[in-house]
Amino acid sequence: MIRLDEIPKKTPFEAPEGYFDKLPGRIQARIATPEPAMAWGRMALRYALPVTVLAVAAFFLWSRPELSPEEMLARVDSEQLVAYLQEADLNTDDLLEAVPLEPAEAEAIEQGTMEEITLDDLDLNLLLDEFDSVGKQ
Amino acid sequence: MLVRTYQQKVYWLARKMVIDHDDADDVTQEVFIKVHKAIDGFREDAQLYTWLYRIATNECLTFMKKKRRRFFLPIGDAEGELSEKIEATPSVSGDEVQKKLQKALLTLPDKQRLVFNLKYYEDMSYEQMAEVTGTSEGALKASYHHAVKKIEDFLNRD
Repeated sequence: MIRLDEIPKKTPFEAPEGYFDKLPGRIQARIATPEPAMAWGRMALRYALPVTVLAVAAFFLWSRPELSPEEMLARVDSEQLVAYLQEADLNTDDLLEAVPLEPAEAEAIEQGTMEEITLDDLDLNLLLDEFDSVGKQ
Repeated sequence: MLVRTYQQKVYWLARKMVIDHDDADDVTQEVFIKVHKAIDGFREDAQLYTWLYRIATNECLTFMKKKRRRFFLPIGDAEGELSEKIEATPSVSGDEVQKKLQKALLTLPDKQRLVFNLKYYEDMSYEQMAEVTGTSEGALKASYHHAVKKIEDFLNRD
């Protein structure tokens, strides 16, 4: 069983010879060179287009009856929600960042003493049925 | 002066994230150019080191996101591309254990890999890491612990 603390800690890569001697000069040269002014066409696209999209979106949102986030979410089909969550690039760390952890909880995770939640097939089916019924309400 | 003082720290932070030297060179240059532009707005109540590291870590994560988007790479393919770069790096490919460790790191999400690098290679305190990343100490501790577990599972796989 390999443990991380048994592996020698060393920088795995090498920089080309003389790289750090030349780098300050190269950066200084870039700083000294003024950036070219952006063409008007590109500027228009960069700023006008997002503003236009936002204005159109705001018009449609404003013209609809107001819905709470919960009401909007309730209108989304549960299959679409599940598909979105499966496709979303979410991971444990994104969820950890969103959840304010108590110091004791963080400590427990760090110590590896948090019990893993395991569901047998019956419990998992009940959970999925509950999830489906919430979506259909 | 700033470049000479911090160039190696910034470069190695970037290199461990992006693997390729040319990419690390691009990231490093961008960091110092941004530092130069923003230095007038630097509030001296914050440590320069922390402020500069914040720019460097953001630049690394932004680079990884752009690289994936540019090639329409989902996470798995980006990992494969970087894994090939590790195989092609002579200083790593000759050391089987280090090679496996670097490949294990590539299985981590970018931010978790960054947290791991800051803790494991630079021995940064969680307090300082929280200032650099804008993430709570609790979340960072949990993230690092998970990273170590995932890495060890990978290392012990056949």
